Amino acid sequence: MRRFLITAGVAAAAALSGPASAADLKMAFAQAPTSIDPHFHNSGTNSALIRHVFDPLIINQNGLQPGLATSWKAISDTVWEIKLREGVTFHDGSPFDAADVVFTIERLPNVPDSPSSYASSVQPIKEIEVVDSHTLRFVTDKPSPVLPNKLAEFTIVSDEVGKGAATADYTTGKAMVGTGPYRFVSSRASESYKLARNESYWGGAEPWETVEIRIVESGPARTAALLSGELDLIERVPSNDVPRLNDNASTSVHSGPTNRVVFVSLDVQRDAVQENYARDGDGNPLAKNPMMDKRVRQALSMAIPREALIERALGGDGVLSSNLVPPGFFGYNTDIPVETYDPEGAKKLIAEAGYPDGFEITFHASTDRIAYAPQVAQVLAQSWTRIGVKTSLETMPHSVYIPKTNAFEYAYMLHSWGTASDAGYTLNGIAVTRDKPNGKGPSNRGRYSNPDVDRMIAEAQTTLDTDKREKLLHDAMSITIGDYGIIPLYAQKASWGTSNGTVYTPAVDLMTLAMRAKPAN
Amino acid sequence: MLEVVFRRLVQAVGVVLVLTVVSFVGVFKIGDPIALLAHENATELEIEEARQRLGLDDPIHVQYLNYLGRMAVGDFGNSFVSRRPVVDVIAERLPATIELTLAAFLISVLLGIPLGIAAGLKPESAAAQSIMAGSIIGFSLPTFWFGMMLIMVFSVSLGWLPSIGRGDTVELLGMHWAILSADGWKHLLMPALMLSLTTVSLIIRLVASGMREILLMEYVKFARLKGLHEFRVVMLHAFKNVLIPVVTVLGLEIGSLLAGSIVTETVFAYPGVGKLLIDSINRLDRPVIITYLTLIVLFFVVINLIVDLIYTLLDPRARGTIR
Repeated sequence: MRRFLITAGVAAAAALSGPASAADLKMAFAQAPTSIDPHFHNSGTNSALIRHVFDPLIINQNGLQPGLATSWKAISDTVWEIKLREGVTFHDGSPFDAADVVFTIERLPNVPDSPSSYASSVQPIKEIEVVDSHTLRFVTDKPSPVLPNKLAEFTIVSDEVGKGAATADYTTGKAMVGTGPYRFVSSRASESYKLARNESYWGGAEPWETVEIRIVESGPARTAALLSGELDLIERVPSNDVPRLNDNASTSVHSGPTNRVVFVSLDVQRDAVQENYARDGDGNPLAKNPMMDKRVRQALSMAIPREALIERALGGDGVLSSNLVPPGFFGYNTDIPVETYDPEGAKKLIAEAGYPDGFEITFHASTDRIAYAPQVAQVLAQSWTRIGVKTSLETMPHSVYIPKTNAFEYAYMLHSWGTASDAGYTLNGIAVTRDKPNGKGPSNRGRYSNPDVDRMIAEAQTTLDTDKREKLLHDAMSITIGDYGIIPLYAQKASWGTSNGTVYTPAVDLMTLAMRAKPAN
Repeated sequence: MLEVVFRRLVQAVGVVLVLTVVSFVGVFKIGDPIALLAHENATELEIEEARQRLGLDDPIHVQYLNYLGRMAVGDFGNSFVSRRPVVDVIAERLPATIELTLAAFLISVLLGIPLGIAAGLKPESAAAQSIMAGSIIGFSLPTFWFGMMLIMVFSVSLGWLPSIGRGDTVELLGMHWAILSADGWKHLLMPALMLSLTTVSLIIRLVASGMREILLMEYVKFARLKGLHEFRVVMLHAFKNVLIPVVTVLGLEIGSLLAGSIVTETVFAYPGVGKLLIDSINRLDRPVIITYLTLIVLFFVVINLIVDLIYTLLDPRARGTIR
């Protein structure tokens, strides 16, 4: 019996642990896509999966790169001319042309039942002129400098296949016909997705013959599957597993900066204290929201030891950022210094503001969206307590947190923001005076408001001249940071783990793409 | 008999009603699913449209009554997130959990009962002592940790078993079953072991102590005096009576195995309904949460009914006392 077991074990081991053929890539996402219909739900994980099968017009990676569009230029203040790539075919052999783009743009705002559509990506486009089969003109109401960035947000489907196709037809794979580097083979929702190389890809065939994307939500399980050789590539390596994967002879870790900045958001709108989130030493709410005083806000910023925070709380997985966009993004103002750690100065400011004995606050954060959020929040609480602002923490799942912060029920919060295009996008999302009906400041959760910033961002959004626009964004950023309503902490880094047969090049958008993985050698 | 079944069904409907109210209000209190689903730069208009599409713009009681009305005719609605019918979403995941729970249940019975009998027969022997000590360890280990250790040993170090997913499946009756393929079994073994750990230990202890107690009874002594074969004494006379509490506990354990499968499915990235529930709670996907919970309630009712019926077979005194 024992011999049998050993024999069986060895046989099983041989069957399972044999090195996967170099031409196959097995990778893991940490989250399941909600749908594979490329236009159904605008979310990062969905986009990552979709990008294997469908191409965008413009690829936003290290700046804007040609995708299905080879060139784009503003031929007047309100008209963008787009040249499409010639000779591209869909996976079913049909040619790609202007009709596919027009069909896609019309479909985007009209996907039935979509919980979050891509309507905003094509919202500036008022009219489409088809000049010839490979030239399009997009007419906008106002000058729209960010249109090329927006054109990078969605992917193009075939009009022949797409006509009459519902989301369900994409789910079954029937309508999964794109121009992308991989063809869709099969899927088991929330479990695994199988893809095969598109031999006639316009950008040249990929090195991987097949790609299998598995969904592994638990961090330790992803690490174990990489160590055992079941997977070649995993995203979101748990920080405590990084040394282990680096030390292991057959695995390695690839880290890179992301487009996401983590920041503190303070209630700077309400004079009164929300609930009892700011109290005196006896636990009674303060007469006035202390954050209405800029000195207090500045003191909180000065009290944060950012370098130590990155080193200790994040295990090095962060980059100092003085702006609300990460260094290197369009509109990042290098003249803004990173706040110097100065707890003594902070104490003085708090006293000057009329709180010589300090006060107490409650700080809110969610635990499952920002990596290491609980640790970061603890560092903040300790740092502030040290300068006399005794901070108690309340943490909760993101599903509880976000609806409450949207309703402005909390006052002092930890948030993050990923910059899809440039600083204009970011400041419009989190710093411009909240005016949700017009899509301004939709995620301005502390209700920061400065008319100068509003004006500059509005102007930047319709300024085609690059230098002028950059100047506006620099100035708006400078004012926002100087007002201390939104306090940047750091830009996130992210880590991918690979087996030794694979090399991965991270990108700031956090998407895990087979196209970014290459066989070693 | 029919009356019992009928009464249980009425009770089940009552429980389901209470449960729908509680989960409806609960999810509503947590917040707006659209706030989570919407893209972070979405405009008010986009959000409002999405809310209308999901029927979330009505007052809560209208939403509830609408939902109840549709449920009464067997329409459990569509997932907020994927907009696929909830029944499809659950049916896709159910076989995995059924397989996992059944496999863990079988391991519990096939390991727990023989080991328990062995330990109960000769409590002083070294073997019995180690079985009992082992069962205490099994009780005390966190199953999560046990699962990770299985992975470290059998996947990472030895490379014998796969650590994630469900493997190849075979379609039967419109559902995908992994137990029909060898690859599926390889994927199932470790999750099932992890899930059964506590139950195996429980059954061992239950059977062993029951055995020790019953072996001292007069009728067992009498059977021995009659000169019956030891095997017959143990298996027929003693064991049958040990089984009565064991059946009750096993019935309850199926429920806790089902609930415990949530942790197991997370550790092994095993695509079952437990993981679906967690995902759905994190996304406030109310239709999926309610349908899943309803299913579990019905499941518990059926299990309890079966346990009661088995009872009457094992113990004639129980007949006529079940309500």
